[in-house]
Amino acid sequence: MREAEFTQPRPWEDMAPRVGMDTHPIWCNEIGQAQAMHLPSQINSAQPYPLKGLIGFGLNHRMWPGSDVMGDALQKLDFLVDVDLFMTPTAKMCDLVLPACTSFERSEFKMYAERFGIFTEPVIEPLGQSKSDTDIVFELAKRLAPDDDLLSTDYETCIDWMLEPQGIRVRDLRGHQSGCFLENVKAPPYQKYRKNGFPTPSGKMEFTSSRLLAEGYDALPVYTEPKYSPVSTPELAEKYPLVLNTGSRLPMYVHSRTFRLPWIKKLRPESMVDMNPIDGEERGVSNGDTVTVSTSKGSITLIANFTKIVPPGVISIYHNLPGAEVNSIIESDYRDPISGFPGFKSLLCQVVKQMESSN
Amino acid sequence: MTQLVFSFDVSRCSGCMACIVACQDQNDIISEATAFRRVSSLEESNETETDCQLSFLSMSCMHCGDAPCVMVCPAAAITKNEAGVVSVNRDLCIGCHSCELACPFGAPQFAEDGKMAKCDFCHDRVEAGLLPACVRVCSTKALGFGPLDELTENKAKKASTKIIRALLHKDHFEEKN
Repeated sequence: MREAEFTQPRPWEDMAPRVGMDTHPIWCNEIGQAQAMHLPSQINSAQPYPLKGLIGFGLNHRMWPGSDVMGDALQKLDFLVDVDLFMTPTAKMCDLVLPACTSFERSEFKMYAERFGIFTEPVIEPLGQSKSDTDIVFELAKRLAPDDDLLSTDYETCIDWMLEPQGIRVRDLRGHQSGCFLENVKAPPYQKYRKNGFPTPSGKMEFTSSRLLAEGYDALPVYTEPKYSPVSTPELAEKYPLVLNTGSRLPMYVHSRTFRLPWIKKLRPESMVDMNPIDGEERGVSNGDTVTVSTSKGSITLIANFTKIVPPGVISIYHNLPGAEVNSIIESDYRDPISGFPGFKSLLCQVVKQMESSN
Repeated sequence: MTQLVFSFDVSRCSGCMACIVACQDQNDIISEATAFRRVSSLEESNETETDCQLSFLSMSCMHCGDAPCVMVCPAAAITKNEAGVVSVNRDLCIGCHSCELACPFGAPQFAEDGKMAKCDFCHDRVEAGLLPACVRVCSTKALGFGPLDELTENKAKKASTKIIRALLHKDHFEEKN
């Protein structure tokens, strides 16, 4: 199929370096993407080149470590656009907000493994001024690349073009509302490594990573202590002795998708920090007390929730708690050097009981 | 008299709380009022406190055989019908909270109008041949519903089937262990 034409129309060499390419080259090269966690750094430093404008689809600055830093960086841009379902905190910062419709209001071609395809049918027309996010992309493309024959068409025409080598048309898929088996799509070849080898520098299955070695890392997956931990930074741990784990999952939420539903929010309405009773007692904290959780970057106020799910020495804070944004107390460059992923699960903090008068 | 009951298998409950959401949906509980079903967690540690066993308990009104709320209600607003369902006539309720004091399970809830509201086994759904909303939505089938004697019989059947199977495949069973 021709979907790659849409994901990467030009080779990387013909384009500006990906965001994060200078700091996380292994990630950028291996995954073939930018490392978006590096965005605030590049906006602030203008290195290796300045960023002037940004169009986000479901952009959410609150998922960045140092969410306040990311929020400030976004507001420094000359032009900021967000395409979103909701008027989110990030959308409120934008020069322009384009309302996207939900999946109930648009069609979408989905292709699953085992050659199963489905072209979904909308249940209702898009509400208000909202449009499907792909329609927004095509409207933009018509203005940015008016000479492109394909991008000046529409979503359905492009799906037809992608599926053309297989002789599949969207209009044929429309008759199968629950999807159908696409016999013209080739199954992945069996034991294809015998012919092409593996996508590694040696072409073989590598027990040690020659790519990591070339970048100066251990070739084997060795354990490295987090940047801040009682072992790696004992002097910092004297002031901040607890390990902070953030963003664990609650069973009623799928990422942040259902955060806005009052029925679900009610199941755990308080902004709480989960801590072991042993750590609570050591600090004179009782279950239900108001406490301050501090890191070297900042502090937030929460309610202490005693639980043995977290072992002594560790506290756990879920994300999107009203009035207590845990990402705002994580340094924005607290990232894994190889992947650029934030160290949301391993940093240091302290919990202190708030005095009655400060309530 | 038949007695309709909920059954609950603690080993199956994953604490997802879908039963609470289904209850709120079915009973249009949109305000700050609590659903008629609650899920609590139980944490048990070993002696050295290094391990923690977590279990969940989903509870609503038990529709008690000898319901204390029915007895204490001064307005006779709470009744138990021939199917064993304990329900409240909200037109009669005077909002005195006596039922709340008498109930050992914390089942009676008080809506914004100050009157009591509680689980009625999803009367409308059951009348239409459907399962109560909480039972219907339970993905691990921890929650069950039906007449008391049938549920007990089914459980006994299930257990004895398992025992017989284990006996029939005794050699295989021992080999594996």
